[in-house]
Amino acid sequence: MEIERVDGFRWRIPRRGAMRVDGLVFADDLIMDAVRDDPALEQVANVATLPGIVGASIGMPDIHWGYGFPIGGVAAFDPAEGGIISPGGVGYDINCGVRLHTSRIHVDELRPRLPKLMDLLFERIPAGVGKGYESFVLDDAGVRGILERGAEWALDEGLATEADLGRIEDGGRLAGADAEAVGARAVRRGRDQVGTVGSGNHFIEVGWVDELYDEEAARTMGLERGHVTVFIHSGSRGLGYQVCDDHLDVMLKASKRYGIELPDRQLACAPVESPEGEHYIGAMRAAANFAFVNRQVMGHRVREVFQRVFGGAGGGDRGGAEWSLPLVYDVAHNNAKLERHAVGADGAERPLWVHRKGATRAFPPGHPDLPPVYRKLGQPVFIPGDMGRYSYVLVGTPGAARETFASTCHGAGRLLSRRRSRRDSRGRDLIGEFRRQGIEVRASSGGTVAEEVPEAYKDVADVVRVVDGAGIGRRVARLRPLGVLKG
Amino acid sequence: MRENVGHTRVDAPPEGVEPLDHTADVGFEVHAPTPEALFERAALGAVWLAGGSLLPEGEIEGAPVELEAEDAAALLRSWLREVLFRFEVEGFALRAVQQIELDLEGARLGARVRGCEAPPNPEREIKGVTWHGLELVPDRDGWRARVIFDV
Repeated sequence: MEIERVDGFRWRIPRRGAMRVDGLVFADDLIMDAVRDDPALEQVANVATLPGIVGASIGMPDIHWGYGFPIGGVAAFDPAEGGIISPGGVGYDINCGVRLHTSRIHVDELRPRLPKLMDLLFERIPAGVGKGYESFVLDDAGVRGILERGAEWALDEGLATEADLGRIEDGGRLAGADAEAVGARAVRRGRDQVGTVGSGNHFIEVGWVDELYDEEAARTMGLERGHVTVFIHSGSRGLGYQVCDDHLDVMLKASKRYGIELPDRQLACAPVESPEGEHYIGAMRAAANFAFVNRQVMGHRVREVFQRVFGGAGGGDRGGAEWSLPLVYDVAHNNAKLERHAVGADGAERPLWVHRKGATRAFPPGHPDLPPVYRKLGQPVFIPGDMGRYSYVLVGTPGAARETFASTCHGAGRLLSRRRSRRDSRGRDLIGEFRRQGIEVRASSGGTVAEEVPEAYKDVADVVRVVDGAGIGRRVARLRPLGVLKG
Repeated sequence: MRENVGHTRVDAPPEGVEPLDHTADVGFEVHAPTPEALFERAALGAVWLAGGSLLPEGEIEGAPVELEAEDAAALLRSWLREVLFRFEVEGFALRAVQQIELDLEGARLGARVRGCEAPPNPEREIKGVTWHGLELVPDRDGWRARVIFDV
């Protein structure tokens, strides 16, 4: 793979063969050394061959080998130039994302209650493969209500507040969702999975703010040094997987019909302005609404657990402030959205379909789609690290708007395969090791913990250093884990 | 940790199934003397991956499977999707293919399968059977397939 250094944080994959644009990868020497031989760079080049792509096919510093598109990939397509929509550019877990809650509780106040809190979270919120609720099961009409109305459904059900909706990307509801484009199997999978964690790298993490890099930005977000936070990372669960899977076959046929050459069949796609493209977009938006509700309902359950832990004797003396857990923001990192961006020599804004697969939207200060509280600051961005180290809160920048279609990284990025992690973890008491570090882990499967050990991931600080250095995100705060709930 | 009572731990993959290392996801190569055996081994491999190393006990008859697809590789993908849907959503873990009628050229499949209840707490969630690097080809020893799953 031919790759040229542009500067200390940027590398160019020059246009060659069927590529329509260059590849642009954000990495320093450390990260480039780790990914140089990874098939992910070839995948950046493959994406650059798709019709209607503009600017560059982009790889974030947490890039790693995916399927079709790389994980940590961003690409924008112009519908006016035959631009495409691709389920593989969104991923199976449609609208997977992260939300962050903050609190008025100091970490020292929480520590003695942490085991109880984690036990209750584990008891109250289903986590693990295919796990759903036994007592919170919707009928098909209920699921379709979520698909059409997103977080507004949760508001009507008493599972969200108006304030929550104001701090979810797009208010927690994507317009143009088409519940009828979501198949019966997908709906069935969603019936008992609203408000569930799932498996793999999904989690609920109770943590605390240990470092502030921008006090004013942190204050706007409600983050205070030493205070407890809650991260929730999950997506559209089985419903979203099924939507993606169902549409891949349709898109493969469509690719043939529209004469689109595919270097990898997982890149199957259709022109945005085609019946197949429109059908997928309607279904994808519906699945995205499901993901917004999934995270919202988990946020509601977390508040209930905090109320149980802090609302008894000796607690609750701050009028419920201990468990109100205000939402900082809820943002996705697996989706495709129609946004306006400036491209080309004239710098004129055009509507583009921006695919982010393992990349976070990062609107700059002043963006009209941001809620009023963040319009001056820019959009909060959350970059979870591994279970043992730290995570970061960032904010969107004008640099991201100029270079990456207002996108930035989404996590640490895997270093080891899941199989290798399991092999290396054999014989270790992982839960005990975490406990000795002061981190309480609750998991439904020891295998998941073995696959998700800190050594399996890059150091997220290395990834964030590149993002910050390249100016496609700006550091605001660092968080440390206290308790992690895994599938 | 939640327990899987009544399920036996089996670390080795099924016969003919070789797990692949993939940074983010999981996958395997399957080898078999015939396409029919390959489809059965691939199905057992998918259940093994999804169930982790937990082989359930007991045996029940599964609903018949009838599938049509675009081509042979697409048929293998559809077959594995069906097996995994039944595993995760319907709680049926395939353990044997009793009878299979396979038309690779016409990309059609009919099968009768047996299995058992899936473990209540399988170790891995498989989001999808990807097209990425999907292969189904004859080789010197019979047939070979390569499948990457999104997890």
